[in-house]
Formats: sequence, structure tokens, C-alpha cells
Amino acid sequence: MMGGLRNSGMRISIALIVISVSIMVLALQRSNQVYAGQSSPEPASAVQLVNSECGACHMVYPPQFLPARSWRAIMAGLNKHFGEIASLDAATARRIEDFLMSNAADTVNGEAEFLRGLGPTDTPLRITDTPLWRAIHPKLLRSGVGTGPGIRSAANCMSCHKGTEEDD
Amino acid sequence: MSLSRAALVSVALVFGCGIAMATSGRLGVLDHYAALARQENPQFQEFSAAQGRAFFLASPGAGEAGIASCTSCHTNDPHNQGRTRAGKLLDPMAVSRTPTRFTDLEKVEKWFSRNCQTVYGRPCTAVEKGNFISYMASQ
Repeated sequence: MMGGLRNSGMRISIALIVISVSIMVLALQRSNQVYAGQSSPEPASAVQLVNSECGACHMVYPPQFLPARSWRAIMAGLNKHFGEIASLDAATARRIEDFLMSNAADTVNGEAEFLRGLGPTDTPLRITDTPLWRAIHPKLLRSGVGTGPGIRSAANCMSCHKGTEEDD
Repeated sequence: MSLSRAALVSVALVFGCGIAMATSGRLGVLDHYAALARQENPQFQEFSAAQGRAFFLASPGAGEAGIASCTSCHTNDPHNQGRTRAGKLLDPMAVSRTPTRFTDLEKVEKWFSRNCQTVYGRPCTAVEKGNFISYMASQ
């Protein structure tokens, strides 16, 4: 009887130790993942990368609105991106650039009307510099736009286009 | 040590580790910068939240128009949401408001490397980074 009790006590103790050690090993693995910035075991898709990297600072502009040569130029100048440093590691930059260029205005996925009025080598770096955008938004071409507390910037599409992206 | 005592110790360790893990990400990041700070200066002792605050509020005069200071986008009070020049909202920098801040070294390094250059015109030192995080962790 006593031997049985001691055996079951031992079994419980051993089980507790095994469980505790397992939890600690799992917890350590998890904390290492968080520390290395890899909390998600799935590699991010190109769209997720565009949303997280480009979308950290501005609305995620549709790649369909600029020709591929514009996206190439923009991605080549991330170290001075409209006055700010937006450099990315080479692997992330390449995946984002591939996505933008393969969905650009001059691809089968693009919006060909955004090429209207653009010469074959014109390389606008802003959607607001395309002839189509300027024809559609004459009021936003007035000086002073972008300095007030209202729409803040002509680049702030979601200020007027509710639903384009959450207006934040 | 008896087996049952070993079991108790194991269970206690798990609870202890659980509490420690809640902050291990940020502590790991701070440890990383402390090790670098000791390399920069063997006399280094500890980070200063007060100096981190001064660093956050300063306008060193090296930045682009409209981004003269950290506060240009993050506001003077780290408990507030910030806003980028292009209109995107930024989560508050204060750890009490955004507990995930400064827990991912890769992300922390990415933003320091960009924003130190933008505002200060140079990379930040490990001491500056540690001071900054210490200030935000105290808020």
C-alpha cells in the first residue's frame, strides 16, 4: 500500500517535471522567434510585404496607376524617398519591386488609361504627376493644398475617397 | 533533492519564466544595446530614460523640412498617436499604450536606422537607442 503511494507520488513528480521542462523548452523557442522578428512561421506574401512596408507610412497606392519604369525608379531611390529614408533589405525590396512592376499600368494587370499623355520614357515618381490624375483633380492642383489640417496632402487619397483604404 | 521537491521547483520555474517572457523581447533588445554600449565605452553603466526623453524632444537641425524632430510625426507626448507626413496614423510610442513596441530587434533597428538619419543626419549610438527605449518603456 505504502509502496503503491510512493510510486504514484513519484509518477506525479516525474510527470510534473517532464511537463514543466516541455513548457519551458516550447516557451524558449517561442521567445527566440519573437526576438528574431519571426513570430509568424509563414513567410509573408508580396501583398503582405507591400501592406506592411509601404503601408507603414502612407496609403498603399495601387501599382496599376504608374508604369513599371516608375516603380523601378521609386524602388531604386528608397534611400531618399520624398525626403525620408525608406530603405529596405535587398530581399524584401526585390519582392516588393517584382509585385509593383508586374501589376503596373503598362502590364496586363494595369490600368492603361494611366498611360494617357505619358511619353514612352516619361517616368513620373508621383501618381499626382500623371496627366490623368491632374486632369481629374484640378482643385487639388491649387497652391496651398497639403499644408492645411484638412486633407493635409494630395497624396492622402483616403481623405476624399472613403473606402479606398481606411481613412486614418 | 527529493523527487517531489524537484517537481515543485520545476513548476515554480515555469511560472517564473512565464512572467519573465512577457518582457523578454524588450529586455533582450535592451541587453543587445547595453552590450554594444559597453563596447563603445567600457565605463558605460546603465541607460537613462531622462536622456532618452531629451533625445526624443530635441530638434537637432539636421532633418528635412517637416521632419525636424522625432516629435514632428510622433507628437510631443509619446502617449499620443502620431501621424506621418503622408497622413498615416502611428501607434503611440509609449509602451504602456503599445506594449509590442521595442520587442522585435529587427524592426527596432530598421526604424532607428531610417529615422536617426532623417532627424539627426547620422546613425544613433547604442547608448542613444537604449536611452530612447528606456524612456518609452517608462511611459
